[in-house]
Amino acid sequence: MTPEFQSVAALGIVALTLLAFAVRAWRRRRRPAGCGGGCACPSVKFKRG
Amino acid sequence: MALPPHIAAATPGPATRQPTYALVGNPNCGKSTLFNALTGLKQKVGNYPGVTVEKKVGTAYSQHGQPITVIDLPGAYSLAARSPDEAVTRDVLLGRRADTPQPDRILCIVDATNLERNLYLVHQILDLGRPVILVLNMMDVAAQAGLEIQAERLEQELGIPVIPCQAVNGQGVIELKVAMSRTDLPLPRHAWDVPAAIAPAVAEIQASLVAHDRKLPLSARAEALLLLTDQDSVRVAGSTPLSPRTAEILKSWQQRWESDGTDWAGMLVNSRYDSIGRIAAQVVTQAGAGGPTLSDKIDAYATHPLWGWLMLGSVMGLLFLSIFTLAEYPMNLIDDLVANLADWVKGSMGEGDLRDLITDGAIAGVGGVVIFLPQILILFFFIGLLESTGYMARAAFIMDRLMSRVGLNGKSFIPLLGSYACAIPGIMATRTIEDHKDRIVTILVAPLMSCSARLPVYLLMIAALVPGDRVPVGTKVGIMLLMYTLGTVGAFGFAWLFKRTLLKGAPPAMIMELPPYRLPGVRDVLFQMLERGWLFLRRAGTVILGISIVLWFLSAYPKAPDGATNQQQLAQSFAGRAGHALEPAIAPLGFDWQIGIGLISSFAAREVFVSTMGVVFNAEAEGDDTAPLRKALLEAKWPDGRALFTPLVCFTLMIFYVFAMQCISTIAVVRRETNSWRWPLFQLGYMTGTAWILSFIVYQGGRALGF
Repeated sequence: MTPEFQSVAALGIVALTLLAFAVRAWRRRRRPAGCGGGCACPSVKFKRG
Repeated sequence: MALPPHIAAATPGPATRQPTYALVGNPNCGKSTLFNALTGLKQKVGNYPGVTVEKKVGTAYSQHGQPITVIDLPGAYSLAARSPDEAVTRDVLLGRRADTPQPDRILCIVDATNLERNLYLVHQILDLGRPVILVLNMMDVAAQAGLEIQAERLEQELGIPVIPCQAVNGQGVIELKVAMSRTDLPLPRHAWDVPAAIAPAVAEIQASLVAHDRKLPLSARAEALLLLTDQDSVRVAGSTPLSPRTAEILKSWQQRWESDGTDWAGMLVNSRYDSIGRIAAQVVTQAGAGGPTLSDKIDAYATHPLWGWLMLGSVMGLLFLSIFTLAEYPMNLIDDLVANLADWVKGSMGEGDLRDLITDGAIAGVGGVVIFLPQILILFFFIGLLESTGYMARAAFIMDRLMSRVGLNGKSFIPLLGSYACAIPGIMATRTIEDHKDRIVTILVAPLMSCSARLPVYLLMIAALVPGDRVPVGTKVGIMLLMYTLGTVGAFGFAWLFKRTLLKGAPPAMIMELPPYRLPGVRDVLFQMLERGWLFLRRAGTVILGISIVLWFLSAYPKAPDGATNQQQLAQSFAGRAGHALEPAIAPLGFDWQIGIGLISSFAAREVFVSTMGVVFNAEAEGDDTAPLRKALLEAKWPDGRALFTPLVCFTLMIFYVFAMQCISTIAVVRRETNSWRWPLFQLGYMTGTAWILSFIVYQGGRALGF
């Protein structure tokens, strides 16, 4: 594997990683208030007792 | 007995969907043990488990091998929720959550040694009009305490199957599965006298819930009773809000009662307890005088003002000793595996960016985190053991005295303890704290407890601070303990400050149950430990892997001209430029741009500081032996020739890491748990500010004193 090819492959992996982070952040924004995982995180609807 | 139309409608037959049971019960009644006994490894855990607050779904099998879904709901003393996790239990049972369908049937587990109190939740659940199976757990402990419980009589009184059980050793589980397999589960015969003054309000609210909130009649009655106990104030994500019409009716009744002095909530609770008291009197017989039990005798020491502290100190000491000693061998093993893997990649590939990305980015980054897996497993094994035996409740009880001095209660102890391993599970565990302000204060101070990710930084700095083999081990241990103590004192100090300023509030009285001591359920403890370990690994393999790759890129690009040294390449890189930009802010602390790179990169994870220093100073730290890196650090100099890593700088750097909020994951979790950017940003500001100020004082003070 030539150094040039390695550079291209490495940069491709970095780009895919950044894309994965962006997709992850976008998906989280689309979820409802709280984490949306059904784990009871308080939302804005959380009223203090 | 055929199911009534409203239940049948909500309960498709086995051909279309397998039956779903909700498992509910008071905290510490053996619910999780029963869940594990029923479902074994067929469990699916929600995204972020806390100790008892996560949503777990498992599959049990009927006597004929048919799958049965079991949802393990958070422990609750009543459907009147006082914390977010209790609110989930209430909302699932009432069908208020869009993400979880209302369960077809309910499996209610009670602690037989404390039947009357446990029956309060059962009583509320029977109001729902769904098929219920009652599990009388800990029958052996009840028998030892001289309690005789007539299960058949209880079955007749409530009109539901009652199964005596010892979940910890599996006794009664087969009978329970047989009961769960029944398609003809009877509906509860549940009649209790709603006070006459309240009955019209119940009827009107029930009718409104049916008409305007689309509730089924029986569920609506249960919800009306709950609304009238004035305990419906806690709402969480996913809760369906009340329709304006129902809210209006409720408010008008409350105003009417307030004006004529009627204690409607008290009347409802008392009426319920009268009904429970009558049932308990008929089914429970106490043999003998009921003298102190073994648990009472142990508690005389375990909760004693002096012996209790000594016992707690010993237990905590043992816990930390185990974390540091037992983890050593597996950590070395993981370290060797990681190093061998990196060597193998280096030997198999020619030089180039891809090889560097794999070895210096992915393997070094993930390996640097995975190495802490043994410590995480040991910590959670011990925490599970302490919970399983019932000692954790005593620890919280003892700590309550200390916590109350800073304005918190003992429930903050477990999250803070968990934060010694990692602030993230610690912050998750704050969900069990009912008081909103106490919860926020605990979240704000939890990252000050020295987590395991700080350990490599401390080890490296101690190695540079006190070089030489002639330095007694006690000195190094002493410095390490000093860092842990500083973090703990800092956490308590800031909790005290916040409770008197930003989040003022009287220290709440803690009411908690001390469950009887019991032998630990090793299977459950191992389950919990492995679950935590898996989540930790999953995070290392996803988020941390990604961050490591990005960090590698930032330190490798843009490329320096051919022939440049590693250090020149670094100075030229994006990370190097960021370090230079940061230098004016950190120079008063004795840190240069190279340390600045470490500070920036360790925002991803504190331990990344060590590997970054290795890259920056062109030396690779090998396992726990930090000698090569230490040597490089000691040889590092400022441009004017002064030594960079003087003992004072090393000590200052440790102080900085004790207080600084160097963890993006924690910030993200705080954001999610508080559902606001306000608190994580405040936390980042106050922790970083404190770290800077204290580091400045230490460094400049040390220089003034001639160090």
